[in-house]
Amino acid sequence: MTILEAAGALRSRSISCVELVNECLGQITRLNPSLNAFLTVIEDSARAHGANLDKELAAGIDRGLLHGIPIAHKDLVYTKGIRTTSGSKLFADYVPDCDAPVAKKLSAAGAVMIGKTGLHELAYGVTSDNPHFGTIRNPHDPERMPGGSSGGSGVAVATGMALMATGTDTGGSIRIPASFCGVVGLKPTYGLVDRSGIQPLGFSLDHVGPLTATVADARATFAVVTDDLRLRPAPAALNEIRIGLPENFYFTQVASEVRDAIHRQARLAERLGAIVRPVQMPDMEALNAAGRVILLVEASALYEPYLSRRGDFGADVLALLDQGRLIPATDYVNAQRLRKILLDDFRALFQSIDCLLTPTTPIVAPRIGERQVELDGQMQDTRLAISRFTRGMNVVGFPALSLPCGRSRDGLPIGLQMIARPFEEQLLFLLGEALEGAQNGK
Amino acid sequence: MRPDSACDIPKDQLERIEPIVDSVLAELRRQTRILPCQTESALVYELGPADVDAGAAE
Repeated sequence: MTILEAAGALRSRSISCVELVNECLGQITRLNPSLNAFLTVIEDSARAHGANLDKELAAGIDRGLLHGIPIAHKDLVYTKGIRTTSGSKLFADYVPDCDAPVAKKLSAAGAVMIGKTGLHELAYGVTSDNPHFGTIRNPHDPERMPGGSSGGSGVAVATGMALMATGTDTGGSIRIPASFCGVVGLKPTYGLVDRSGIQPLGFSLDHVGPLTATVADARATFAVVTDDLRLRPAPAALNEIRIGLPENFYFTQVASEVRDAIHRQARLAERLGAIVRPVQMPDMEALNAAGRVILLVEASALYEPYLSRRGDFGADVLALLDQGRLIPATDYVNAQRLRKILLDDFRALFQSIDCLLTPTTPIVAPRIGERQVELDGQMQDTRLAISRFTRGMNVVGFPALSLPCGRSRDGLPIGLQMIARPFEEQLLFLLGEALEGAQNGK
Repeated sequence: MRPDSACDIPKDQLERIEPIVDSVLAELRRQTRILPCQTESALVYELGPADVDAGAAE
């Protein structure tokens, strides 16, 4: 069930908030032992919260579309009185004394928090194979990874354990699990959703956003978590949207079935009235290099005080933190300088288009532990390949939405990434809903 | 490698840049568009794409 369907059912009294909560808790009971999406489930308080919200609806108090909707928070979003581990041994017993503003806003809008979802340790990785809290598994094939770092959130939404889950995205950590799990994930414009009360990773790259079953659900959630006046309205119609389809970078080193699926979406957008034109991308390899250097240094600066507790880190995260300390300050500064130059390139690109269509990930979900993947006849590090198409938007701060756009031969979801100018999330929702509707024959 | 054994890594190994990071640095250092004597606004050194607002306003 989607948020919008549940909202309709709640108002027609065909289901209650408590029943919705119980449905999600039932899914957690059935599936979490095998998929490991949740680290903490708060059954009793969720039911009590649901009961209060039922009373409010009966009394004519309606908080909006999220009233009574069961949601989950990635376990690095601070939740008052509820353990928030950040997927790390360092914070295994940390209980915040306040809610993150994003959690507070969702709660005020009537959302019912039912638990905290698992993640890659410290959100520093894309596999969600966590050495402290166990491996999170993809619901479409439990031998495959769900993506990360917001892996638990992707699994929770894909299986109906929650109707929405929050995620964070420093190099693709919302969009990658959305792609691998077959759900929608929004990385908003940089700075648009309040990051306070959320464990950071890369100070200048971190974003917060929702994972949902549909684009309309992402739009409904986004409306609650931000009310920024800089947001621009959606275009009046699809024929006002100029879509750029990259000729370079995004369609090399990509699985053929992923490439074909994205091209089909471009043709579909054209049939729906949008204008599709080929574009040359700025230097994306440079953008990725800048992003990696900035993240390596910022994450190491953040965790340096903890690095003496070497046994408290998993091997992959510890290796990254060690490497970040070895990067000269000159390279960090030059990466930031390059970032500014490439941001100007992106602004120039978006003078002739309103949106880009790309794959979210070059491959579908790999098997757990698969370290190398073959693309265009070359073996590549799986972790680097997975984030190759997402990382750049963390560097320039443009909003990006991932939505499912078909399945591979093995039945695994393929993700379409749509990118717009800063503050043009509504354009992404308009186009995303149109494509989603057309895929579903609506 | 399990984290419990990480404290046993020799210092020289801890101070060695791995090839995968080295290749990222090489890509960055190849960028000729970063000019050595370029005058830049202070904005460049602010954390994050702080001027996305300016981009939106154009």
